[in-house]
Amino acid sequence: MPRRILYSKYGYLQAGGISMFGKRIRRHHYMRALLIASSLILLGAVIAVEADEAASKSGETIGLVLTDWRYALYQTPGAGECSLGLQKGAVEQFKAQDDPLGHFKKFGGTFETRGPNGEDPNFSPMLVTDPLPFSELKTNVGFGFNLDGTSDGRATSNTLAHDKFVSPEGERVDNQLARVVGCVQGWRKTGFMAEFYAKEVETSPINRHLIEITGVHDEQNEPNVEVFIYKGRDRLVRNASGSFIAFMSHRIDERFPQFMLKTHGKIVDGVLLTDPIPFARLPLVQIQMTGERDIRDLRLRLKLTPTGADGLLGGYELLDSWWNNHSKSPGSDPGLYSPAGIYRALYRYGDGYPDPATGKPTAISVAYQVSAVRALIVHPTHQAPGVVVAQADQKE
Amino acid sequence: MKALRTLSSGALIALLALVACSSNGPQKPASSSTSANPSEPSVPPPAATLRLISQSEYANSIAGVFGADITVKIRFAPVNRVDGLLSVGRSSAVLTSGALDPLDASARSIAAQAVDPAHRRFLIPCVPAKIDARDDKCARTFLAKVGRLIYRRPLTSDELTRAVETAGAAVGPSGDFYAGLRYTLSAMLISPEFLFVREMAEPDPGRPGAWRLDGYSKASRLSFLLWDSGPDDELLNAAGRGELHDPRGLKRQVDRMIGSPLYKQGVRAFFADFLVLESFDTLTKDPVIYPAFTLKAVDEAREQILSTVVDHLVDRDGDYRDLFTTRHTFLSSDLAVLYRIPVDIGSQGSVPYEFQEGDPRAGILTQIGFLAQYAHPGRSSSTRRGRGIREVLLCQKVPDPPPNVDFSIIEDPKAHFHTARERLAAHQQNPVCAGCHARTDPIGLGLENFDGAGQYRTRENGAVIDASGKLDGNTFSDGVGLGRAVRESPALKSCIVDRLYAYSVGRKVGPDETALLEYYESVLEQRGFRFEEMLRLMIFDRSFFAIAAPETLAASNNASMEESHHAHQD
Repeated sequence: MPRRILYSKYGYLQAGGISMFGKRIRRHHYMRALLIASSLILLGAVIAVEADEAASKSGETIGLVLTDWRYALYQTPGAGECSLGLQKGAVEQFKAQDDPLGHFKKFGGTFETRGPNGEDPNFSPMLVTDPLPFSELKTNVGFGFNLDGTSDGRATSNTLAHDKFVSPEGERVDNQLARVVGCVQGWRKTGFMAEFYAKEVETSPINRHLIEITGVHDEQNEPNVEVFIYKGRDRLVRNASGSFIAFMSHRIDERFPQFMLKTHGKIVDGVLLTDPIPFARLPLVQIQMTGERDIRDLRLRLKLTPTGADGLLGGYELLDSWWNNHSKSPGSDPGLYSPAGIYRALYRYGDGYPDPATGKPTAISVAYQVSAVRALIVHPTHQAPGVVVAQADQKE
Repeated sequence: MKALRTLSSGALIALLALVACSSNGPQKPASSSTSANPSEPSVPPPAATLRLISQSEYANSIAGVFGADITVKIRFAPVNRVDGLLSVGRSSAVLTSGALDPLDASARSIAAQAVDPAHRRFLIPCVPAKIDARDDKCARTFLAKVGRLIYRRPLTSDELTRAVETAGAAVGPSGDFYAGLRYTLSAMLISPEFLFVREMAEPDPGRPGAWRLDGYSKASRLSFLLWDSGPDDELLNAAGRGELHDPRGLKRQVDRMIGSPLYKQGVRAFFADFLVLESFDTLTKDPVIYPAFTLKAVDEAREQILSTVVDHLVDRDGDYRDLFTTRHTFLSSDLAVLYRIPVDIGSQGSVPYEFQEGDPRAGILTQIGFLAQYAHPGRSSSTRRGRGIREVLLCQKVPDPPPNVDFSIIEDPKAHFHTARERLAAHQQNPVCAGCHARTDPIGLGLENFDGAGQYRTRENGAVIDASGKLDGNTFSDGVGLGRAVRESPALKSCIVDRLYAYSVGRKVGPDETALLEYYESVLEQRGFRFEEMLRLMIFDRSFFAIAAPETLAASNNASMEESHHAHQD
């Protein structure tokens, strides 16, 4: 009976090995991880990861490590797709509100004390009203997945009615978060937050996302593959020309089984398409703040190349955790947006998983543009320090 | 007793005004170092040497004297590689004023660190009566102790007196006792007595009429060979007591030194020199063609070679020849990318790795380091690889190409050569080129399954690569087979013996020593070419510390100086 190792209340992880292109370097090491994600507070969802299968499937393995992660936004020079141009920043909103000088004298701050009693709008967004209007995304062109399965965005059992975008390929897609952040200068390409976070994706091992595709016989067309997502622990390396180096070894960070995910997928004309993962937790450091992304129905669409991949990651991101991640970071000033306006837009455009009691959304459709390079994913081969063997497992 | 200093050919330094003959203080005469092996040929004793220490010897010596936490930042000026070795080139190195500048700066930096408050209480065995006044007794105690390690012999009475006086005089202007020590220490570290290994000769009482190295010169020769560093206190004590002239005393010290962790440092130093690893300092590849060939990967490739060597020859006590077939090596993160092998390690360090049976790699010839070292920045080079094997590993000279080589045939875009074999076959249609390429290419083509960065491949421009070839009558079909053929090459054995002997004595090996080298090879043929065995065979041989008589030296020196003079005129 193999040993089992209890990592947390969410699941256990067992000894594994190193796999590369389907070959087992250490055959007698195998990893098996079962994740019972109970976030679980919200969903009580159960996610099981049988990582051992990653290496036992026939065919080869493709390893990827993400190198870039951005909102998938349709944007044009001059922000013509935004009704009022780019959003006004928090400082401009402050200057436009009644008696800003008096407010400043009373509370000693500007954008960070805009509440009637000096409240920070990041923490009390509903206490603050923006005098300048929210610039709406008026284009119907967008990127994303058809998450709700409809062509018109009508309400379903899990979604609220909303407008769909039309992708460049002509597909009706859902990406309501683009309406929230699409006109924020900081989150657009070359914007402060987008580029700052892109750098954090590169430099912070917390943002190290590994994708392992197993059972690949043909990288162009493969009807049935297994796809695993792990948190990695190693660095990305660029070469002298600035390119990320492919085929680096990336170890799975076995300390965080809650970030281990599994789904099925297929490869069609060199594009990986995955089935949705009911509930996915992903590690995050964003604008110097640590948190996690919580995404329901997470799926991938990645164009595979010999050295990497590019494509979309999407699903329904939980509003609470999204706001938590964004409101904690000091982004509203350099990022040029108003937390009060963004918060209201978040719930105004939220389209996923309405609360049965209130009918209000708990999630919002989102699509991220991601890039990756190929990686040699190294499975843990030893017992992690500090783990506890569960009594129940010992009896088996 | 009168000891004799001799200079090897052309060892020059402007500030060297060394006395031709000097005494090295009291030493106990002892019998000849070893008994002669009956079958050992008798060769004429060579001249003693004067050679510039290497950058690693400098750094290791400083660590040995002051501790490893002393920062040494210096880059030595390059020296010529002579007879395949930089260490031989250093025996005729010229230290110019330009090269002295960084040495002077380094000496000042090291001296300042040695006497700073963080180090003085460990390194200086006394405390001055007053910190702002001279204390000759304390200065003498410290300078005698540290000077002996720096000069690799006890300071003479005059030297010590001058050093103490200099330190004391320097206290005046600075008002700091330690500034005086710093001043004197930096002078010692820029002294030719430190920067050059000067061998001293003395009559051998065990062999009337014959001469030998004195004890401290023997200590230095042993220490730089086995540790790549100057002698430690114990070795100098043994030298002072004359124990290195006694076979048992010599063996005791050699056993101790080979048992020391510093021994691996010495092994690494020899192979870094022998395998021309300084070329990695300037090794670059086109990042567009080989994006993973980073500077860190270069460092790790160099380290992989040395780690494999030390693991095989020291830890496993393996035969040198098996270095070309061993499947054991080490992998680190940035290097493993080029091998396409996952490693369970972070950005630092390495992990042992064993190539499986059937893997296209085995032995150091198929390691990234060798393959990339002997290749072009953007493609492989069978010629360079073949030449590297011939010249470095087999000690066979391959002439330089003529300056007017006609590459028009292989550069013709209409030619559509797919593989290196096809290109080189076309190139060899030129009879001027064919002679040399016939010596290099059949060997180097055996490594064509590896591109210019050492990455494995089976095809080039769509064509299947034929990596077959022949060396010394042994045919092979791939890089692993080439490694086996090199392992069986007779030249491999004679080459390592020649190079190791030249390295160990720090000078060119003369033609009259050929018989000695052949003798070593014949012994090792029976015992196996284990590295420690090779070292012991040479060190304990009666010839190892033998030195020519003064008359011979004088004549030899004159001839060498004349030769050097002509060389400079050329």
